[in-house]
Amino acid sequence: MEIAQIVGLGLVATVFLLIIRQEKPVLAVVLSLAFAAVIFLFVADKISTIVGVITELSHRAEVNYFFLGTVLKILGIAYLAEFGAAICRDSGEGAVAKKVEFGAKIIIAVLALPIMIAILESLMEIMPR
Amino acid sequence: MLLKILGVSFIVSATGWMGLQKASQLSRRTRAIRQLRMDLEFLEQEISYARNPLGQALRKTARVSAQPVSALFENAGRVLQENPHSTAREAWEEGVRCLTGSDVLTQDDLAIIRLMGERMGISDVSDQVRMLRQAGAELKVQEEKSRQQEESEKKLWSYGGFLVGLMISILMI
Amino acid sequence: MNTEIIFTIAGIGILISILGIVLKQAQKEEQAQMLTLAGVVVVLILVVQLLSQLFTVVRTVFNL
Repeated sequence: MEIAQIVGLGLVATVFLLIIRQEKPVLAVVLSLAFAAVIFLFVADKISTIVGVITELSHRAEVNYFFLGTVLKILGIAYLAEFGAAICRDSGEGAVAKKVEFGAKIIIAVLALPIMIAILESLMEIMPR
Repeated sequence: MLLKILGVSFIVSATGWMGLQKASQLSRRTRAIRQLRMDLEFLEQEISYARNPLGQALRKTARVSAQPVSALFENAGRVLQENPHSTAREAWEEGVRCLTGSDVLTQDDLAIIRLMGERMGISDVSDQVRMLRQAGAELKVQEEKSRQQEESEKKLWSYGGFLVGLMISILMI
Repeated sequence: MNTEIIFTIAGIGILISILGIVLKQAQKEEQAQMLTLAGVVVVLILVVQLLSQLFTVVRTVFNL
């Protein structure tokens, strides 16, 4: 019953956070940070398994691993950015959160450039001149 | 598990006890200063109205006084009684020395009392009375300060001890 | 699941809040603020290890 563990810990952390945010918002930030880290570490194994299965499938379908790898990296960047931005927003720093998301968008765009170029080239090959 | 609980209760009760000691010391100091002030007034009455000799006056004051302040007058009176040639100043010094042992009064309070001893027994009655009244006024100021300190810090020390113990045990376990 | 650290941080946070209130009652505001800062530093040290572990695992899982 791992979902029960996750939900239970989440509710407990929420109650503590409510109390602590009234008195010392600083410690509330750290507590929510710690909770997010604990939950991710808990499910990290399962994420690995899923990624492994998808990689295996893409091997069989003979898709260039480069594309899947890039998508995976983008997922990771998005997760980290959301992680940081949510905590900033909870602490009332909406501007900081927006900037974190903006930075993540730029990095994702840079990573996705090769894929976009590859797609454009394929398109141009297909389209009659 | 049991060991952990035992350790935690050890640490918490130890720090809590220390905190409570500090808190009670604050209230003891206030009471001691008030007692001292009242005893000095009594001594002044003995010297000026009853015109008792110093040794007798000191012993009578010791009887109406309470621990730990009574040690001052008791020992001062004892020195005068045992050694009739000792000066009042020496007797007073001896009394203050015995008072320094118990840690209820601070250095400031003891300085006021010691200063009194410098001029004890070498002037006439009205001068003594004036000196006693002056010391009493200074002690009243100290009493007021001590009372304020007690009011503001007593809860701090009584709760703080336990809380610090809890924090230490949380950090270590 | 590493639940202990959550309870440790929550416990320290609540205790520091209470101690801060008691200190404010005794009119020692500066000490209350210093205590808060000290508590934040202690808790951060606790969490930094956890965070480095998190980032390592994220790097591994997503091949970053």
